[in-house]
Amino acid sequence: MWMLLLGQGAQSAGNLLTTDERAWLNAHPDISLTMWDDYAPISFHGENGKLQGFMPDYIELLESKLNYKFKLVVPTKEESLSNGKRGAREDVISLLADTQDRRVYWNFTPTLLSFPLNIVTRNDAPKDMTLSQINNMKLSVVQGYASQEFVQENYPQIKLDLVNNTCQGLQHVAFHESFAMLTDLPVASWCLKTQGLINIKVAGKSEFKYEMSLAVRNDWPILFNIIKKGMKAVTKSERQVLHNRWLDQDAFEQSWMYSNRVWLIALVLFLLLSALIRVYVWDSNMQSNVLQRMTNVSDDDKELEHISEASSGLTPRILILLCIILTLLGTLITTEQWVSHQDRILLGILVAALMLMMLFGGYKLGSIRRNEENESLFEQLASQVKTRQTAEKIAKEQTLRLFKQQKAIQTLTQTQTKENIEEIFKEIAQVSAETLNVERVGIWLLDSDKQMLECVDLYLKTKSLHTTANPLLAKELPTYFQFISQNRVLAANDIMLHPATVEFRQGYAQENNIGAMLDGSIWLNGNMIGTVCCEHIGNPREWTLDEQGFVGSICDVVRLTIETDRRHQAEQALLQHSEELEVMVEARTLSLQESEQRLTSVIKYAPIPILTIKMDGEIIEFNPEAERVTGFSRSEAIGKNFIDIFVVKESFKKAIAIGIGTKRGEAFRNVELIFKCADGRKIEFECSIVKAGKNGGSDVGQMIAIGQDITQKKVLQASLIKARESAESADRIKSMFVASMSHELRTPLNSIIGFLGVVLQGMSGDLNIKQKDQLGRAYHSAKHLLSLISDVIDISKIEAGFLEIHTESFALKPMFNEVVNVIHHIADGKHLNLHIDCSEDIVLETDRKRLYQAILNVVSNAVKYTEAGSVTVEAKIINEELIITTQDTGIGISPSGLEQLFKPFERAESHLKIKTLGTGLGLYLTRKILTQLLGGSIEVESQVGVGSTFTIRVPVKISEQTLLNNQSILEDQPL
Amino acid sequence: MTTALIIEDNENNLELIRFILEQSQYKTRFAMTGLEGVQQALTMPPDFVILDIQLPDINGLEVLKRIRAHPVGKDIPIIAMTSYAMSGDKEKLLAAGCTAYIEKPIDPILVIGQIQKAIAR
Repeated sequence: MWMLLLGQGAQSAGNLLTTDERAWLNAHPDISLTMWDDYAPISFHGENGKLQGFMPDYIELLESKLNYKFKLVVPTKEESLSNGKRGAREDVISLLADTQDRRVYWNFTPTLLSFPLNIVTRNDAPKDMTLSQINNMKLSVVQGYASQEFVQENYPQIKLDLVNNTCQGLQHVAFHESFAMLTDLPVASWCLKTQGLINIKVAGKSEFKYEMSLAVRNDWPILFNIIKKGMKAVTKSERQVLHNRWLDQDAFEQSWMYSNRVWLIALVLFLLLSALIRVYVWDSNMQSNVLQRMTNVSDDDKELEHISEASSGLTPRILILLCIILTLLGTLITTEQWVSHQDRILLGILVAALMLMMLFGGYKLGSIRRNEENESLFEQLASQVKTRQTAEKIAKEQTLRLFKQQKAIQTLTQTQTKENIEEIFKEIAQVSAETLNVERVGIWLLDSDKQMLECVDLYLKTKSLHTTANPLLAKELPTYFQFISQNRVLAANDIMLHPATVEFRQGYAQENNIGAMLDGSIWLNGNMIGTVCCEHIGNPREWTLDEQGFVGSICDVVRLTIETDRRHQAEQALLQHSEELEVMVEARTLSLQESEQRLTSVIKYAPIPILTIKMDGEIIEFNPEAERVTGFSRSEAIGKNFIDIFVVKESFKKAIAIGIGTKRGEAFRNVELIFKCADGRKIEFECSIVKAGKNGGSDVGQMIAIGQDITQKKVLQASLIKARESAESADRIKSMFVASMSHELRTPLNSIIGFLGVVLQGMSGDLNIKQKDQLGRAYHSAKHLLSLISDVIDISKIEAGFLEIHTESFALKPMFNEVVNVIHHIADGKHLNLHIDCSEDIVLETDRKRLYQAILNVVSNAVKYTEAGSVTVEAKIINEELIITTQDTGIGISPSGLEQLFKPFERAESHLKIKTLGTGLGLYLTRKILTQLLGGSIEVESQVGVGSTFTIRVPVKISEQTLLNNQSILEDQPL
Repeated sequence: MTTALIIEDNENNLELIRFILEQSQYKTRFAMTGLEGVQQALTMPPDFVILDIQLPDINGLEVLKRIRAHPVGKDIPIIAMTSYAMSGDKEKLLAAGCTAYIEKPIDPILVIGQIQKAIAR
């Protein structure tokens, strides 16, 4: 807009001036133009040091019209004082009031600015003053201004206070140095703005006014015309712009401060009102929401809030927004300089009207919805809001606590890295106490018998002290123990009321002033292993769920700690164990090496040949002795097949077969193998084959053959066998000789005995006493000889092992009868009481003939050596053993006699010696029969003069009949 | 009259047993070898036989078996007589069909009772 105007001006300059005038201007390039620098806002020094104000802008406008640049001159103080008189350098004065005095030097253009002169006083002065009322009072006027001339001429009574400029004059008025000032309003207004004077007002008008125009030196009429043409070219609207920009005299009329304050108050009022409207509208919306909520119970608070937010009056918001926008718009418009005073008033009214309308509308909107029903809903809402606020507060606190607890757990989890478990327990107790804000926190662990809880740490918060406490015994606190072993958490808000803490009420709680307890139990692998006890001092305390949960977490941390510790210990033990193992392995390896060395030396220096062969026959070890024996060198033997050494294929096969059949590490002894020597000789070896293979049962394993040269042994053995055979044949010849001899010896004896018997019986005729006695002696001698021969034969047969055993089944009792038959006549002759105690039922299996021989011998001995008393024979079977005891009341046997008793041809020394007949081989043969033939035994106990007891024991087979009968006997026996 | 066949190689023993039997009113015959004894026993069967085991040609056991093998000799009582036989002789003889068994040296009084007992069976 500005540019456009300027452009138009420049274009029209060409047509504005005549050629003479243009030429003249060109001839005078430096026409001076005086511009005041102390006449704000018309013309003054701005902040940047340049002249600014209404006039500089106007001159600029003029210059653009004339397409000419004036030389600006700012007058000095002295010069400005003598204004009105033309100085040497002054061609044009930019603004000068037209007075008669000045017309001497100046031509005045038509009035450019016309300002009435007003009386300006302090606020406390009366209104509507005239100059005549200021008589005898000081009136400030700017020295040299036209106003001074007016007052001096028309009101000589008024004391003049001459000031340098308008601003100074106003200051004088404000600070009581003068009563009033006569000045034009635009300038005064400017001063008020810039200097912040507030107690100044316009008291009245004077009859004077400044008629200011451009003054041109009157000796240059052509310039006067040129300037007048330029001034005419400035349009009204261009001038109005400059007016509005600089000359704000309206502001002064009602004091700019005052007018702004009004706007401010209006704005504040408006905002208050709109806020009020907003509240009403919001209320009504809330009510509708509450109603909605009543119908839909399931909606939760959040949803409600959401809905209320969303629907809380789109209308009022828009209204308020509109109000604000309008207010801002109004303010902006009224402060714009190009808006005239009337326009501002109009706009103000418009905005105010709009505001009122909206106010009314908003209020109505609110009031329509308000009714009594809504009021009760509103109250409900209010209480709900309050409840919710409380809940929120609680929730906030809980969140804070949870955060603390979470942090505590986190801290504790990090302390798990500590090595010392006691330190970790201390840390847990301390952190728990601080997090839960309880005085005492103890960690208790159950002992192995589950009979008591032992305190591993007890932390006292106020003392910051870690201590310990006496164990809690299960037998003293059965209720407590039962509760914690069945529940994870024991939350006793009041220790005096909780059933599980009944045992604590008397002693423990009173001593320590405990009001509430929060105990968590520690569980490991399904077993309760301890507790974490949090004890609150003083009054009962309500444990929140999160606190209970926290204690549970602490218990988990303790469990974790214990587990970690155990694992740690196990790892340590494992480590130690593995180290020990390493040492052992090392030692073992060393001993193995030594063992191998020993083995190698043993093999090397062993006096027997040792070979190691693979199962396929390849020789891999061949010791020096093997070299010596076989004649093959080690290098010749190693790598060769075993079969090349063996002359007999069967031997090789035998060895391999044994090797396969033998278990690893097992030796197969006395295997005879035949070797072929280097010189072709054959050697027999007696070997032990040991399997030492790596692959166990497979045929790839190794086999060690340890051999011994038995060639010599074999030869010896063969000769021995031969010797034995010859000896055996000699023995057979001897036995045959003895057998035949026995017959040959006995046959004549039988005849002798037989015929003697016939004769003695009187079968061949009667004998006299003498004959009978002599023949009797011959008869008995012959019989003695026969029994001697029989005994010798028996003994020799037993010793040669030729006597065979003939087992038969027989009853024992009849055998005893036979014995009695043989000896009873001897017993009867001595009047001995011969008593045989043998069951009829005993049937047994053994060699009858030999048993009979032995029994007869013993019993006949007893009878023979007993002169008076009794001989008792008892037979019984115990555990398949026949036991026969023969007890006599005979002469007895001395200890020395007992030693000789079972030797051949020895008989007990006694006076009966001559009387008794016997071979002297009886007991010797009896013992031989019993021990060597029947596998039994014979023992004797004796006392000289009292008697002897012979006990025969013979193992026998018992027939079933015997068993049955024996059993029945036992059963029948009265107890 | 009851006839006894005595098979015995030793003259003294033969005389002894013949004397004892005849004293007891038994009629006696004799054979001094085994084969002769078998022949006599089967051709002229006696009422009973006294058999010595130790014979020069075939032994008493063989004689016993041969007599028993023949239908004529099947039921003739045979009394074996031996001097101190080895264990098992008695069992062998009894198993082969011997009626009774008498050990030498014989008792002149007891032997008749033993014989009579054997014949009576």
